[in-house]
Amino acid sequence: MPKPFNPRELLARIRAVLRRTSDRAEKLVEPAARTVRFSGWTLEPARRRLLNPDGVEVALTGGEYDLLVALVERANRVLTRDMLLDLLRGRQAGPFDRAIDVAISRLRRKLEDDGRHAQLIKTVRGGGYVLAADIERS
Amino acid sequence: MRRAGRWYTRNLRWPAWPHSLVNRTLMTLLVGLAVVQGAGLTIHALDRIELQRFAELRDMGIRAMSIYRSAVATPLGDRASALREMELGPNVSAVLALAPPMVPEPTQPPYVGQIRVNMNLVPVRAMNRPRDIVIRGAPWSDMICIGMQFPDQGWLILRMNLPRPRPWHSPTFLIAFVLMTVAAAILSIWAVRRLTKPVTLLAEAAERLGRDVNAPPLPENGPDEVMRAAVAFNTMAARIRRFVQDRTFLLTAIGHDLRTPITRLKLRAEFIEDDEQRQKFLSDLDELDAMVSATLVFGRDTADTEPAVAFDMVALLRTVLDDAADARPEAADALCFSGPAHLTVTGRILALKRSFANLVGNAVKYGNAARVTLTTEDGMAMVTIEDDGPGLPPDELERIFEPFYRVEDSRNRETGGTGLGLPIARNILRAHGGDVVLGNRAGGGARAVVTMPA
Ligand SMILES: Nc1ncnc2c1ncn2[C@@H]1O[C@H](COP(=O)(O)OP(=O)(O)OP(=O)(O)O)[C@@H](O)[C@H]1O
Ligand SMILES: [Mg+2]
Repeated sequence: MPKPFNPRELLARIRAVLRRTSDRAEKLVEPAARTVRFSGWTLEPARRRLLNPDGVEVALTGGEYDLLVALVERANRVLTRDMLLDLLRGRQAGPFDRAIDVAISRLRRKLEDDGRHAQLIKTVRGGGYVLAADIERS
Repeated sequence: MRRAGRWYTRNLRWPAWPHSLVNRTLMTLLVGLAVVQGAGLTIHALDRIELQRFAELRDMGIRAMSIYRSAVATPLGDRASALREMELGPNVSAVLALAPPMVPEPTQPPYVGQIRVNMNLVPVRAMNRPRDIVIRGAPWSDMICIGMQFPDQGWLILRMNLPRPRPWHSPTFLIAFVLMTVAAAILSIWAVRRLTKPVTLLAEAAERLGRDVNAPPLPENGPDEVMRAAVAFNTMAARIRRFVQDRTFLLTAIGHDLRTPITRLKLRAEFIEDDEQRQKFLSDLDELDAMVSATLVFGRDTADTEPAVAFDMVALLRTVLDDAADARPEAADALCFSGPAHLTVTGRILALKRSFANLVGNAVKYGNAARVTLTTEDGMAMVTIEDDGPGLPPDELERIFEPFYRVEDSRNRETGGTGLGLPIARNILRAHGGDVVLGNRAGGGARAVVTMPA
């Protein structure tokens, strides 16, 4: 662009750029992403967000989000520690075993699921976790 | 604190003066109504008392003369016993005396004339007329003393008690009066509420605009004045919006257009023969590139395209801390949160997350710790982020919020950074009607204090 630029043209260019970038962002959203409801909670994959039963957004870290999606996808089926290790690898440094417990306990706290008497994310004896809830997709 | 102080001085000045326009107007109107009604009631009561007195005095004059006529017709020796047997009527006592009455103080009540005039209404034969009449009684006192001198000998002294005035004699009047007052009060409450509603709406709209430039406009209807205010307000909001947008557009545009020449320069730098020179050139260009990228992010964050949602502040802060801990596991133990279990606030969650991430990031980067505390007071949420670093030079505490400004000794550090973290954080928080300030802790280390409407 020539140096003494015309602000109007500048504006037009920016709008074009912004349009282009937002178009791209939209394409990145998986088309199959559908809203999931479980025990009053709502998971919106389209916007990568979780709403509590009052409709209030509860922020999640990337790891927590991936973990929750994995649990929801295999709801009422056991998710073994090996599967969780795969999921968390690359996200967290340090000993993986501890990382799993930390991630689960963080997620339980976000879901207001009391660690000792967890109702939603249950610990399976012999290693693994299960999301015990009716899933409703829309 | 500031709020409490203002409240205090205002209340000190005039304890009962209400704060809101509605209550002030209502109080003025209702006090006025009470004064007017009180005055009306008093005038009415005085009038009634006057009327009642008039009737009583008339009655009194006639009664006094009737008693005198009976007494004077009785022979001198039998008068005392005749008086005793006479039916005098209520509140009257009669005695015979040799002298005129001395009690009470010889003031002439204003209604003496009334009594005298009415005495003349009772016909008495000329020869029996009293030789003298003395009427005593303090004005408005309840007791009147009348002395009448017999033509032959002695005085007849009558003491008469005036009944207490009864201004509220009629119940229908009182009921009507109360009804009228209540109706007027209800009408004024309704009218004041109605009249001041646009002011409340305007204040709410201004508050919303302070938090979110893209808040919906005010409805442009209602009476002329209100409509004009709404139109003016909406125009102003639109101007502010355009101003903010233009500025960010300009910033991002410059940033964007700088990218191409930088890339070209990088390519050209590859042709520099001297290895050391080329390395220096490229690292300078990388730094320039990072600054431009940060500028673009800055523009995107202030563009306000994200919608406001209700979210849990506690979950957000925990997420920011957990992200920081994941990025720097060795500092994880120095990151902690204390506060309530939940706090729902409304705002652009991604933008706010970025601003808290910037503050926590700084605390970890420059202070190796981040202790986050959340409290609420007076409808404001307060988040403090404390660290164990060197803190900040006191005269730089405001300057570090300027874009690209970095404290001298962090410039040369390995820590990198462009100096946009704090201005971005402040920009976002101010757009939410909040703010952030930095300070030093007494025990060393820095403390960032975020306030936000909750
Ligand atoms: N907690 C802190 N303790 C000490 N100094 C701080 C702290 N926070 C900020 N600073 C100083 O303020 C300066 C500006 O901070 P700011 O976050 O705006 O930029 P930055 O961290 O250098 O870069 P970036 O854009 O990557 O955040 C920093 O360079 C640092 O010197
Ligand atoms: Mg920073």
